[in-house]
Amino acid sequence: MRRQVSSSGLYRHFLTRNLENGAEKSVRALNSSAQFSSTSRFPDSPGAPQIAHPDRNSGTSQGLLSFFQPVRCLDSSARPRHVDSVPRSSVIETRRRSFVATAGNEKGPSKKCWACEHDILGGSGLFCPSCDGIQPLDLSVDHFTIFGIERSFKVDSKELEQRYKSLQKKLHPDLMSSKSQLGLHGIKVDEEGTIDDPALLMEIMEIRESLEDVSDAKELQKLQAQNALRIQDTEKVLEKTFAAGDLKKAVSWVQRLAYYNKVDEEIVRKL
Amino acid sequence: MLAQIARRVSNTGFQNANGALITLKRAYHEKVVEHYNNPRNVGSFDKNDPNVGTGLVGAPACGDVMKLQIKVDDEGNIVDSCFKTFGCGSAIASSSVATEWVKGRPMDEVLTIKNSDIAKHLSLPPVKLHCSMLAEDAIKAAVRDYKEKKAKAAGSSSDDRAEAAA
Repeated sequence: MRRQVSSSGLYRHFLTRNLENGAEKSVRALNSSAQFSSTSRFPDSPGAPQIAHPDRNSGTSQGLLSFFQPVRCLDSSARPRHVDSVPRSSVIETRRRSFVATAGNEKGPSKKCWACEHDILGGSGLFCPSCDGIQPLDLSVDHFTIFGIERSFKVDSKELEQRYKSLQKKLHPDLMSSKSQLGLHGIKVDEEGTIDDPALLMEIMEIRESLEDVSDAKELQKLQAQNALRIQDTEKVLEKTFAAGDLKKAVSWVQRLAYYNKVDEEIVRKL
Repeated sequence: MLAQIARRVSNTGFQNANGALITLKRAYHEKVVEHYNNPRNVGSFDKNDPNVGTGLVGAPACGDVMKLQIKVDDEGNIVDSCFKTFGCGSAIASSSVATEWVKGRPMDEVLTIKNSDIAKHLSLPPVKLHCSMLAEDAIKAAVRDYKEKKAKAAGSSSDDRAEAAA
């Protein structure tokens, strides 16, 4: 909230003008009351979102309030994705893209959590109240609801910043890994546990043993390419397994993936 | 504890020109280093040998794989053992210690070896406790494998005897 916001009526007028095209109800809610004031003293910085300036006719909800869209900001492309029946099927995609944001889908008055079937009533609509699973993005939810702050014009910028950052922490793309996806689904992946799947372990043993004998860079690169293929195949299977909802199998595939990644690390270390 | 390690580490020659003691934080315990540099009992037995039990365990969290093999005589005493471990120094040391400890002991007695004993012996830091757990599991898996082999052999031999008698 490092904005120096003018609180003149004229500013408000232009803000309304620019935002009406975007038809954001939230903005109108904002505008219907007193002026927006910021407690911050920092001047505008060029890289930050710009204030709606009379000369800028963005026509959408650009301007000041684009700062209020933390969840969208995490998704660099911001294009709407098709709604998956199981939102988590794009688990593998999340590793490369930033956030699995399925376009807000009005499922009717009572929305349910995809993981635990719990009702999602009000709130920010971002997390399920019972299992804390991240819900598909609902674009109709206004910014005040997302942050859970009361609708007023005097928005404490410090508090807003804090909430923004804590939301960012919870919704960070790096958390969208396979293991945490399993965690979201309610399967406890025992981090410290030992496994004794003889087939997988034998395979890994053999791979590591063959690695021991190799020291030539070209050979290592070949092995690395082979391993990369293995990783790709495992990821594909993992995607399918998640989509099919077979989470017990998913656990074993995730373990396999972990081992293949370790093999890759070892090769890199040798190179 | 850290001071103890630091003293021991410095006794092994970590002194600069002025003779001042340079204490290294987070150094491996000297026992771990010893096992890592001179691992005992690395190798493999023939898996198909009826007197050999093979325990193969892994920890996907750190990508470690551990294979521990025991050679058992007819009285149920472990006469020899070897291991092969891919993992961190603590994992290698834990399995090395495990092979040393099981040698010459009865099979059922080695099942009482706890990971806490191994960890204490090697002064493993808390973050490496799962390595000792892996070693304990490897011992148990090896014994289990041997017993299953024996049971299968006994089962098939009694079938042969029944067939011969019939």
